[in-house]
Amino acid sequence: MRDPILENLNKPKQYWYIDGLAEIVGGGVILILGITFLLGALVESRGFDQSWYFSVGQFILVILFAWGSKILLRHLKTRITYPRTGYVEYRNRGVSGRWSRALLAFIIAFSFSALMGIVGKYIPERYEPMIMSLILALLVCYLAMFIGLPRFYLIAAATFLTGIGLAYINPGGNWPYAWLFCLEGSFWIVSGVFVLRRYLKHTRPISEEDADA
Amino acid sequence: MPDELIDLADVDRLIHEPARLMIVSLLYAVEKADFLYLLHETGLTKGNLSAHLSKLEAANYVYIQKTFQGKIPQTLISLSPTGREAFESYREQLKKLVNRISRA
Repeated sequence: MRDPILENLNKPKQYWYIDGLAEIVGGGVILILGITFLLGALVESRGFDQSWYFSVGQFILVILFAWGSKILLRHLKTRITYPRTGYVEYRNRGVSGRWSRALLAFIIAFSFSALMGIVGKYIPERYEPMIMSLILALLVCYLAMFIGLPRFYLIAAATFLTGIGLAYINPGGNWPYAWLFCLEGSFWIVSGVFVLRRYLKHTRPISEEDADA
Repeated sequence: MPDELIDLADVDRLIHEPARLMIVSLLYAVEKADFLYLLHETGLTKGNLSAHLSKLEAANYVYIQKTFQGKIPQTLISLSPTGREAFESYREQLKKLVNRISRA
């Protein structure tokens, strides 16, 4: 049964994605992750030792870009979204909330790599990116359901299709992951650009004259 | 009078009004929001929204803070602990009522 109060309680969550900026910036971080795999693949193809890169370098690069993206997103929201459709300050989760989120991320990452390790023993290597794409697609579906944004289901479908395509092509080495994350990031960016275009078309920044009552 | 009707008569009428229920439920999910956001999400007119906010402020359900964002005035609204509590008990009452009716 439709619950209008629950729908209203969900609106602030959906509002974060109203302008497509979160998708563009988040997609950018995933694209960067793909590029780090691409760099790894290039390092591998030139015969260099890549263990240092995948153990430390990639992690630091992604963390730095994720941190930078948070600042960029805040700046873009202040410039584009808040003057058009209003400002929202989300509830502070506090220190314990932040730690539980970090713990949850760690548990997901650990379970994910453990699962990949176990699955990797029983299935051919070429299907590993497909399994990863399936897990990513399921996470995106969860996000779509949790926030109530159907367009995310399209991204989930595109992600899984990319995994199937990569299993079929079988580029080998780090290339499947490079392609998977680069394409996944691009899907988010393209979706975000469409949403941003529509948002900019239908809204205008508030002026001093028509500022609030 | 049947119990269901007694329960219905007991609900917080200040929150029960549809426009105010919309405002309070939007504010419940956030720390604070500005007037423009509420205007955009509720679809109310400026005058209407202002009137409802004044009623909620008078009941100490919301805090209203006037600031400036550059040269543009900004009104920030947040739900007070009293407002938060009132909304929670309203939801609880409503749930109980719906459960009773669906059991009947």
